[in-house]
Amino acid sequence: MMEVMGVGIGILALFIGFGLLIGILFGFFGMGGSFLVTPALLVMGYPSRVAVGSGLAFVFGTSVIATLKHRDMGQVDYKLGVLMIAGTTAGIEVGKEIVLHLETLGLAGSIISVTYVVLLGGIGLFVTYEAMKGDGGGGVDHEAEADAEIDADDIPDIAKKIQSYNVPPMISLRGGIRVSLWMILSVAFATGLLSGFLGVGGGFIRMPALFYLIGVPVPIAVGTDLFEIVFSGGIGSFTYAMDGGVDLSIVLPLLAGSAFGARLGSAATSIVDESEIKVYFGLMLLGGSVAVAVREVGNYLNMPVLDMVSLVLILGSALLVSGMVVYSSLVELRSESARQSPTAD
Amino acid sequence: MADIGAVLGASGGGTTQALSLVGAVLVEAIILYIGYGALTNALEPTVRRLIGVESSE
Repeated sequence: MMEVMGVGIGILALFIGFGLLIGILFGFFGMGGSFLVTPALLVMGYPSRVAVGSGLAFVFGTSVIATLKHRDMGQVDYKLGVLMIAGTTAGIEVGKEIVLHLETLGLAGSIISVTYVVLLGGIGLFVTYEAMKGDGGGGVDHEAEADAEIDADDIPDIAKKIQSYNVPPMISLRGGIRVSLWMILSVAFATGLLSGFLGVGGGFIRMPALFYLIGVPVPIAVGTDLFEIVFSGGIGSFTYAMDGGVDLSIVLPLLAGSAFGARLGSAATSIVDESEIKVYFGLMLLGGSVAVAVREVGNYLNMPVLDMVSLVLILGSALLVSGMVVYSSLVELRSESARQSPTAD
Repeated sequence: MADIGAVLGASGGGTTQALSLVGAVLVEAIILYIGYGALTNALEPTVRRLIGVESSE
């Protein structure tokens, strides 16, 4: 078989195609890198060190590209990002210590898996319910510039409650939000704790946390989350690269595909209705939750075939949701075009 | 499967080698961002026509 730089053309095409799907999701939701790539690489037979390290390096590269794109669209709040990095880093360290302690007790694997399923499923159900409950009239305007004041109706109730705690120093964020520094650090620490405990990038936790708990508009929550992942992904991949865990024959083609997908995905955040974003996000998390549960059942029953079912669930939900993102964008663009054409003449 | 990192002598460990690996990913990311950006600008009108969307310009 024909090879490029020692890698089969078929494998290269597979990685580029897989990267394209993940890039769309990553650019659109600000999450989905390590959560999708690492399990896929494990099922393909790569050692866990290489799967995790290459997954992190891929997340790093993708988040660099997506952050640059979101920055161009004014959707990164650097002040919030730096504060989140500080709080999250501390949380990750504590989460890692908890995992090490649970490992000595022999309980780490099962507790982490159950937490993963409950958390992904819980957030997925909540986000899907919220999105389906809304009539679309109270959504966040994706066309809104980051510094524009957001409508009070767009801020979730729990975020209003958190913003009402007037514990100095108070920080002003983009979108006219004022919230206590301690609230931001607490949310960052809690999400860091979970991501350190679960061994994931944590975008699927931070993005909804920024929106639901602090009240940051969805586009800025996505852009700021990506900005943070540049740092956590960079540090994580460097750590694994020190031990030879980063394989460029995996990372480079994945990144080539995802760079294009991330461009499509982040552009779609300014086109597709926000309530649809939340529905896709929720369904994707539910799919991930089921996939992890299936894999755990497979491990428990010693049935390797369930690993494959889990992979198909992950790839299937990625394909379905990224396909819906592209389809909705096309429909929206066409309808905008149809609305403009009578006046264009 | 070939490990390009090994070919580059960068997968064995060490700070410099790890930095060169992460740096390679960073450089590729920036090249892809600029390259795809230019490609998108060049092809956007054609793609819009193909999918049946009028240019807003």
